[in-house]
Amino acid sequence: MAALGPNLFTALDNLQTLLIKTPAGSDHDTLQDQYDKLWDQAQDLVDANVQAATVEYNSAIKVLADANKKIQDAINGLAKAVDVINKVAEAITVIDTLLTKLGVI
Amino acid sequence: MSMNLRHAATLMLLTCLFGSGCSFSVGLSQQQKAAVADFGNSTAAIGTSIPQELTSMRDRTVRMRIDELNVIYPVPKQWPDYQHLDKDFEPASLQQRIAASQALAAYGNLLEKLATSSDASDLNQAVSNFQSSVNTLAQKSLSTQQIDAVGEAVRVVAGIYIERKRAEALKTIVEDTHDQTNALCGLLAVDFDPNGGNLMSAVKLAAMRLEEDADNHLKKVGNSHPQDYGALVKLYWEGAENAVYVEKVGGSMVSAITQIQKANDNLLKALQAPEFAFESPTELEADVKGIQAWTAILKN
Repeated sequence: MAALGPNLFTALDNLQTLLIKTPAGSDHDTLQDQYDKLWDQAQDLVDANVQAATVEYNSAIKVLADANKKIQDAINGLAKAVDVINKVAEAITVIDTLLTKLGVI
Repeated sequence: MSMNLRHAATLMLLTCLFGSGCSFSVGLSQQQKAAVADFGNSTAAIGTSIPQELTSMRDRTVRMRIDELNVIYPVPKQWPDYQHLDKDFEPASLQQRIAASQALAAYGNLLEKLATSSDASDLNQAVSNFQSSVNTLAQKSLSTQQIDAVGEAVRVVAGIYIERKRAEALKTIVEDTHDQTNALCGLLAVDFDPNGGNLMSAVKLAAMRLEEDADNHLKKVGNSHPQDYGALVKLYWEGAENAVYVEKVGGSMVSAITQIQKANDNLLKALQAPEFAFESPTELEADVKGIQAWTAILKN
């Protein structure tokens, strides 16, 4: 999975840290839904053992790196949950496109 | 001959030996022997640890998947059903990795035997172990001809006890298999990388799921202690404990496998270097002893 794996798993790690810190409420629920979606995508990638390096693959790496920065900022109190939600939503869409293109989903 | 002249003559002899690309040779240098031993040790270590850890990874994952099913409702969308709880760790998939680790261990053992033993049955046993372990690999990276050539190179050493043949055989084998060995190690390293998207990642995903689902449910119940409170807390800690396992064992396995690649690179470099390259007076002394022993044989 080359560089996509580390970015995706770091996003999951960071999102989990943020979720545990976030009190129950609407932000928590939205982040939880996004975490679940990213987790499913990671499981799809593990099951498919994806080794591809396409344009979509590289886009997914970039958008995940951006999302990771935003989540890290939120963990440190430097970004709002809504900013994280928007960035993660973007990442989920790009990974979905990649998985569709690769025939994984 | 005065002492100065004798020193000068010795210096000339050594310069001639080291500077000439070593046309005069008695076999493996101390550095080469050390490089073979280092490679052998690193492959022997993963020959036992990889099968053990793969079993542990599968058992932990299956256990986590069962425990999640016991406590969390509804079941996560991607959770395997009761007949596929070993998903990602199916027997054929594990067997491939075990075969790869055994082939590496047999290869390391073969090189060590080749560097240290002249006993024909010992060498034949090592080459036979290596050939059969390579033959069990699902995706063989060595051709049948290459495997046969390894056997032939070893048998030359077993049949004729000549140190020079030993060095040549090692060099031939290592040059032929260097890239494939590193490629095999690269695949195994990704398997054990928690973020590599393969086997250790599957353990990591299960651990994360447990922690996250338990935390989510515990947040919802707040300060109340429903009947499943203890089970949720247990699930949370089971996930956390496995997350630690993933990072710790994954990290150490990747490091052990990377060590083989380094040892493999060093071995190739050492075997391609002049046989009398030395880095310390002790190594020089050992090599000079080798020359003396060879000279004595020639005189007789």
